[in-house]
Amino acid sequence: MADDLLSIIAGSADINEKLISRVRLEILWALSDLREDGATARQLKAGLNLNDGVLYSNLKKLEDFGYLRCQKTTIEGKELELYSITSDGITEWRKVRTWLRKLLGCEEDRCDITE
Amino acid sequence: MDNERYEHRIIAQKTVFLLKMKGIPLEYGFNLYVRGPYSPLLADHYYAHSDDMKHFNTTETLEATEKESVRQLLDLFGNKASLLEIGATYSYLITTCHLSAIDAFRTVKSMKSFYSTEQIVRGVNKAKQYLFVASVEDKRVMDSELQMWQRAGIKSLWSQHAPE
Repeated sequence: MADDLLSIIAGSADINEKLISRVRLEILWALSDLREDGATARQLKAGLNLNDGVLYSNLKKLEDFGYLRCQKTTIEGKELELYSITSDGITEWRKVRTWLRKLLGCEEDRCDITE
Repeated sequence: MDNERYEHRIIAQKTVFLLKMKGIPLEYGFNLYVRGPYSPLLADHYYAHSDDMKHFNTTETLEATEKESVRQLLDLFGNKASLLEIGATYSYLITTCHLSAIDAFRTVKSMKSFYSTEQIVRGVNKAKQYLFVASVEDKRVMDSELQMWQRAGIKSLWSQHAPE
């Protein structure tokens, strides 16, 4: 426990605390495996069940942090916004995921969250 | 395929997924993402071999049955990204998440709510046409339903033309 405490406190100093929001974590999680392929705003909105206001305010914040990039793309004649994760975004996502796993007592693929 | 174009990347991902569902042995593993079924390994491959992808260079050859599966897919979906995205997502929910047909349809409607109901019905029907193989029992049920409709049709014709 003492080791965990020290490493969690040390790790927390290294994390962008503005990222610890359900929606921001969900967006980064959804885009992390898709890397440069990304997803359109409408796919994120429908897939994560978010409304326009919540989605766009959080996408803007993540873009401002430098974790996402937005490009215009066309599908079947429709112009859409395509969001993909940047290398800074991937680094930050890995960092926060490692910290959360430590906080939840996860080992490999298992988490000690029975209590 | 031009991997600079998002639409082409969607078509590639969903085409490979549906061909795999049809039984063509492909090495790619797929998981469900906000885009629908997606394989990061396939993405690695089309980015690493973008020139080969653009000019369809390959040393692989398809067997006759595999060529037929590709032809059927092209005939049904016509390389249309929206239909492929809907059809592949529906197929994933049925085959991998083991949802019932009605629950899979509802989930696609919610996950792909930016498409019209008409587009979703078309995409789902294409997937069913492509992947559904009728069992003996399915055929028996369909035959009995068809016979019912045929009898009703004959009866209605008879009542219209019967002498008074």
